[in-house]
Amino acid sequence: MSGILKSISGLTAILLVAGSGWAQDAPLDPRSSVAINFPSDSPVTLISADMGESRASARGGAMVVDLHKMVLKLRNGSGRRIRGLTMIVSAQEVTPGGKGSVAVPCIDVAPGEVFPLPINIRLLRSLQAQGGPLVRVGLDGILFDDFSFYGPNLLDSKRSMMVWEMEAQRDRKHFKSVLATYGPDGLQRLALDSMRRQEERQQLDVKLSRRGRSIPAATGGGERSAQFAFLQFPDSPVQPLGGSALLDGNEARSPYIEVQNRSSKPIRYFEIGWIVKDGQGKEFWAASVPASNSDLNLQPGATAKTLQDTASLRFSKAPGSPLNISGMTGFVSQVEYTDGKIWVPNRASLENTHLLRVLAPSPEEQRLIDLYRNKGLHALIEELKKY
Amino acid sequence: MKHPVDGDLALFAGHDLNFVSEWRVGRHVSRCEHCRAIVEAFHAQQVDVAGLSELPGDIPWNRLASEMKANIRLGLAAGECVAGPKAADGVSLFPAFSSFQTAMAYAGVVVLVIAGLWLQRPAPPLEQTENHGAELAATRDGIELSDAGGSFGLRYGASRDVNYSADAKGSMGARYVDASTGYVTVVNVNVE
Repeated sequence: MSGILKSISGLTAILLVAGSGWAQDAPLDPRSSVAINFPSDSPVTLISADMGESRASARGGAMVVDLHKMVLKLRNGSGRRIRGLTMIVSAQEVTPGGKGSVAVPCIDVAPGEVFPLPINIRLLRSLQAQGGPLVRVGLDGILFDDFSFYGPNLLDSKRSMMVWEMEAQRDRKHFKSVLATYGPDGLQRLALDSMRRQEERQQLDVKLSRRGRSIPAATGGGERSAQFAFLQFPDSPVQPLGGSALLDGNEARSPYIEVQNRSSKPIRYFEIGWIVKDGQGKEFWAASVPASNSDLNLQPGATAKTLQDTASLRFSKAPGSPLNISGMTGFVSQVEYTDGKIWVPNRASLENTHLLRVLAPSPEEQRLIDLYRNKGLHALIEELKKY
Repeated sequence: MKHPVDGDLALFAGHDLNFVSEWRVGRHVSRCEHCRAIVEAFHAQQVDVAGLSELPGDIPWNRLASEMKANIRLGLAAGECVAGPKAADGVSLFPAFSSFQTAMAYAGVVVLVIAGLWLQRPAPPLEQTENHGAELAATRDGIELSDAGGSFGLRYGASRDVNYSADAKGSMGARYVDASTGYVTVVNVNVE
């Protein structure tokens, strides 16, 4: 009897505490709520942390930790310039939405310089999670200007930052080339053309379900297998041989793409860009499809396929307006050799295949155009002179 | 003249009226021959009834006592059957629910808690999956995570131009230029 009473009263207490938790919405205390850790030999050190408007609030059985306008001030204690930095931000490792990352590519931080790292992210944490700080912020990697890397690289951030840096070098070179050939007016036309492309480019709403097929697929008339068409880049080290995916209305899943290494060096990783087409022939960027694993050893002439165990994706042009997929296009978007070198499509390939109209700009082009928009042509020219 | 009703006259005869009614009815009876006769008749009946309350001398008390004891035992046995099993020491296993009021109090608490949970439940996702797996969505408004009946917006304070990306492995990212630093910031959230 006493056991039953204790159980009932215990359950009641838990429910009442959880219920009272719904209404909680408290600012985060930087000393007790957030743990910021850098390895003892880290080339970057923490100078200060400003929590901004960060808050934690309980919703249902979870706590939403909203890191908003949080800024870390870091010092580059190395002798090299920093080009990119990625931090792991974790509220709870095993909870969907409990872990994320914040990266700042395309930066240029001199040795000894103090620089800010803005953090804006929302994470989930179970209310039953025991003890410790609400959020842990840690270093995943730093990329230097000589392409050397420091960090645990738990999120494969080395490859991501190297791709961003390669794209940055490509686009800066293009901007500088236009400036040298056509002068400031030519650079201005380039910037305006980039802004117009971004305004015309329509982003799809994408829903991604990791386990299980979503039901029902909007406008679906039964699942069918559809073939990929591929864009071929003459200098690509990897050639797509063929591929297909299962389509049902606005839903696509299980992409299967086979590629061949046509370069002279072994390849560790590749990624395929995925474009979908609606009934009117308009193309949209859909997703990226990674290689079957992140540590291939694809020898010259050998073939490999993309990851099979993928999430299913559903596309909509707007809420309540599903995209009826009528065609798919694939292209090789990045390749990493086993020696760590990275290949990305060159600017001419992107322009010749009209991919610039479909793809988002590279992080560096996004930064340069934002600089032009906010500070004008002179600031853009001065920025390009730094490199 | 208005006469009191027979009920009041009967009560008056037994002196069972309150003080005011007793005075009012008595005053009327003292003046009304008809009502006085009725009161005297009620009084005579009371005397007769009092005589009937005397018990006769030939009642079989022993037989009646045996029947009463048997009925009491039968009632106790039936009560034990209804109360359910007993512990070894003879105490009921559920004494807390032995009274109807206690059971109702527990039921009230349970109903209150369930009603609270129902009213405060998170909004259901717009679309469900067959096995209720987590789902990430990138829309113009931000990144949203839905999982097993609940959905949580993973929006953040971003500037106007945000580029969203999806990875077939199961992650989504948002890229924007941070207004305060001018840095391109890439935020990634994983569905697993």
